[in-house]
Amino acid sequence: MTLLSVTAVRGERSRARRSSPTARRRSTARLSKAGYFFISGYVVLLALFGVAPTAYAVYLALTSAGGHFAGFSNFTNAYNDFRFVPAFKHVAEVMVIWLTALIVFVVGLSLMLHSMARRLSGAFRFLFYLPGALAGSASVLVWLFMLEPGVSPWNFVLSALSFKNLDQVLLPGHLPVLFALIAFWTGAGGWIVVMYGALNNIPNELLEAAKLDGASAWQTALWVKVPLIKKWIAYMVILAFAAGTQLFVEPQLVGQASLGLVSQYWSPNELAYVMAFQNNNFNEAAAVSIDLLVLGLMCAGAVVFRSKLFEVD
Amino acid sequence: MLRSNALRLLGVIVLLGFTAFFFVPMVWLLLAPTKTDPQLISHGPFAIGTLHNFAHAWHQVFSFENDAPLSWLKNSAIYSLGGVALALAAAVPAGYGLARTQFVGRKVLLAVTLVVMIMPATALVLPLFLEMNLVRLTDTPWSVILPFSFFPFGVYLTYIFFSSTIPEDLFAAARMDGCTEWRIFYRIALPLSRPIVALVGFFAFVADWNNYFLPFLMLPDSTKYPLPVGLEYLLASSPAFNPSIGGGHQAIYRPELALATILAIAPVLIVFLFAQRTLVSGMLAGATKG
Amino acid sequence: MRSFIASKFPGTRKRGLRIALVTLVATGTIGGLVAAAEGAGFARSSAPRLLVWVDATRVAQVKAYEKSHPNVKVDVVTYDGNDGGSGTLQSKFALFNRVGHGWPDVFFSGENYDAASIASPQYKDAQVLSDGLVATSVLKKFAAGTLADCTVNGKIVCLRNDIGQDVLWYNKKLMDQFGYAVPTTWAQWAAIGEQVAKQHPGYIIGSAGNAFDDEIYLQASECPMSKLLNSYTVQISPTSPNCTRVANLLDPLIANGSVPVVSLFAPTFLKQYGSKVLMMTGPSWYGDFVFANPSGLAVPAGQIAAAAPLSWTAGKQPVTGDVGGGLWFVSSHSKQTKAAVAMATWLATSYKSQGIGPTYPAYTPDQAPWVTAQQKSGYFANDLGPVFAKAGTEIWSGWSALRYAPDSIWSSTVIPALTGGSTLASQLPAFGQGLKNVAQVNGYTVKG
Repeated sequence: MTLLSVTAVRGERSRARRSSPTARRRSTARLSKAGYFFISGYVVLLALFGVAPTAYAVYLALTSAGGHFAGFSNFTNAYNDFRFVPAFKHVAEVMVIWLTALIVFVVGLSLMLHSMARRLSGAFRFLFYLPGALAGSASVLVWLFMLEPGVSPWNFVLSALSFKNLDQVLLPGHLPVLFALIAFWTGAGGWIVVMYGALNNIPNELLEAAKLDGASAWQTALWVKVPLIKKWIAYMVILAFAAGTQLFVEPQLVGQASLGLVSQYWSPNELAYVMAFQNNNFNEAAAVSIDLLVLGLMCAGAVVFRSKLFEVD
Repeated sequence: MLRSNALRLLGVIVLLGFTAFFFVPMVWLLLAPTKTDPQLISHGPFAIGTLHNFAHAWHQVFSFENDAPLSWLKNSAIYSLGGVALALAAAVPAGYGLARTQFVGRKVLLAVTLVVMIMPATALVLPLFLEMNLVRLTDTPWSVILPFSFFPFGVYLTYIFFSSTIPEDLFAAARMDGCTEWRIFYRIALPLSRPIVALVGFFAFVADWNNYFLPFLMLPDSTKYPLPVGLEYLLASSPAFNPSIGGGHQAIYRPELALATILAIAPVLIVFLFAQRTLVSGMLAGATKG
Repeated sequence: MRSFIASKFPGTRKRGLRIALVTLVATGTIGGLVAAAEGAGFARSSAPRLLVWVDATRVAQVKAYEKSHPNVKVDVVTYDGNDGGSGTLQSKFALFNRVGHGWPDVFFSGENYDAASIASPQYKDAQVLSDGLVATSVLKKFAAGTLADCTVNGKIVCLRNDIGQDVLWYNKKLMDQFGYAVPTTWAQWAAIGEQVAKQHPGYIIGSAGNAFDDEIYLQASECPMSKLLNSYTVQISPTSPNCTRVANLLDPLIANGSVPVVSLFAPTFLKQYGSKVLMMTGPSWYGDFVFANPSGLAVPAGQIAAAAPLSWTAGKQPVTGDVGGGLWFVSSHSKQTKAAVAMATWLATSYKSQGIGPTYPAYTPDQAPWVTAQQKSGYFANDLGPVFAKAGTEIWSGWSALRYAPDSIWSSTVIPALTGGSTLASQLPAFGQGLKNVAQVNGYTVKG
């Protein structure tokens, strides 16, 4: 039995439980075939490039190097690796800053832009988005210069914090803030574009009605606009949480820019990569990846449940 | 009156502060190729150099290793455009189907998509490599384009769009008229979906254009690299980041790296400028009225 | 398929056709683009050829080989040279080993530790060269100790391309100006540091912020922090007197500022200390890439000279460190082993006899021509030849090539601690513990 057919059977049983009048059942049956047609292309890709590799990763996590079943030993070995706990501590510290900053500022800035004239907000959105184009290797050089006192445009900030050279900027205690900052710099713009688009799809009548009711700009923003983009915000929280726990690029690029001041396994995702490609231990690497997946799913589950993301309006 | 003005001022300051935060490093980047490497350090970050330096940097970058950067640009275009076309072809109908049709397994599909999206990519690369090897596609563009066409992020975007943006009355009216599902999608949903197609297409393009890991592992030859992998290779070949390699005649220093970086990100920004117009056109104006 | 759609969705036949057509055209276009790309160089070759992986800098060497051996067909693939701990080779070989194809016949690595991991049971891709494939007479001509990094389990598995033997670089003009004699021992060097701090503050005699400082200072002191006792046991003894004496030497100098904790390659180094380098123990490639380089310190000609590496015991032959140097490997999976070995041998031995190549050769007969070519520029204030040649034979072989690089632990734990104000003496045990952890993860047993 394939994964899809098992779940299909389960889905059918749950639907049958919610019995409906004959007419609805007939139209439901008719609609369901069309639905399959629409999703067919994507389902093939999902199976090939999503489900199969994920299943393989789960298989790797539960077996040893020779292919024998290994129970949870990969998970316990990974946990006992000296790099494991520090890596998770690091991302926990990053997450607190990153998640709060992203949600508050992305929603806030999008609302601000939405209240502006279209051309002006377009210019701002472009400016905010620019860093998002600098992915990974492209931003190594930029950040080397941004963080080096003496050559950085932000020197007034760095010297105010009495940093005289790069080594002082990259002291271990500063790294979580720094990586959250870089991740925000790269990621916020894209989410602002999404949120702005979502805000823009709110029908004007609703906004006008609110105005007629005497709501101020603030009140409209908080009580009308935000609830209407609830689904988009939920989606952003899920993905931002996953992206935060799976931090990889920022420690990697700062490590490269600084010629090694940040270890190559600072974050759990980096650790999984090192385990796989430097220690040739793909099984433990898969175990760490599954740990990250479980974390992300816990958050996703909570958000989906609370925001009813899977329901159609 | 005073209070709202003060709030306005605060808003302006916050906005300008964020603008500086996002934009200042880009200004540095744009000005860097106009200076020589020693000048990057001795002159101020916003000092403007000479056109001559810029031309020198340009020549150094583009003649690197038999014009490799041009190949990288071409490769990036092929991989990204191929990936975007296929991703859109799959994601737009899929999002619509998930949002507007009922079928067995709908919620399961949403859940599975979410799970796969959250799975760390590092764990997926080995199985993807093995899959591509099975069909003898490693070391070809397809080994990169096909995985690119799987874009669950886009499916969720289209799903949320179709489920919350187009009002139910439109569909109800169409169904009462006896339209088939396909007709409803093709005649009603698709024309109204230009903003989301632009959004998903744009994000797919950026994700494909900036993807480093997948091409790095699938393509061993540096002439087949897309720009991100090429740029990383350029960094590793530069004495600026790799002092002990004995760089010598390569002469790729920091201004050249800055120029290569600008080359790597320029297409994304150009596409963004074009996509912006469609991204934000309010498509519902007048749709339900009359 | 079409009739299925037509029966389920009446009236859509024409539309279905249209969709099918569009899809066909789109696929055709993409296919065409891909085919064009394939034609433009993606096609795979069918004749037996040698696949060579090199970094950008060594391309010239391979091209020279192709020119002098027109009957050998060579496919050159450039990659990042495995430098800076990028681990590209290990990543790619892990994948190739799983699918059974793809390895290059000859490859270069810029990471001088790589022999240990590539020859290890995990990657198993280094062809043993000492069992007759490369003549013993040739192997003997590599400078003493330079093939230690290529020796795994008593067998030589790679050929050394170049070495970065540490020498004492000094600014002759400044030293004469300030009246300091060039030191021959570490104690003398430290004494000068104390004087410099008092008489000429701001000038420096070394630096302590580089990732490879463990090789510059600890290796030269025969400090056993990465000493292979046998193929599975590493000695890591941070409390050994050979290690603690380095900390006791450096700590006062770090404190008085004559040996700052700044990386030589950081932009601020140039600003603060660019013209104030009195002395610097560093590898042979510093001459060109740090001092003469217009993007480096850009010291004017005629000032920089090199002296013998410092010794811990007056009168005794010094032991020195080694930073960098590349390796030529032949893949154990190669189907053209003989041709590959011939090529690798040529690349490691013949190219530099022409005096070209950016770094100091490990192969002795190539060394003199290389130095002559360097001296032609007239930049250096003394004759580098004898200094480099002697120092090249003094590299301490007790700093073994392991499956991990101690540098990465040094730079991610010790340097931040030094930056934060800790003394090196207090950090040596932490360094040792960090090394122990990484050693064990890589399958070594650790002896304290």
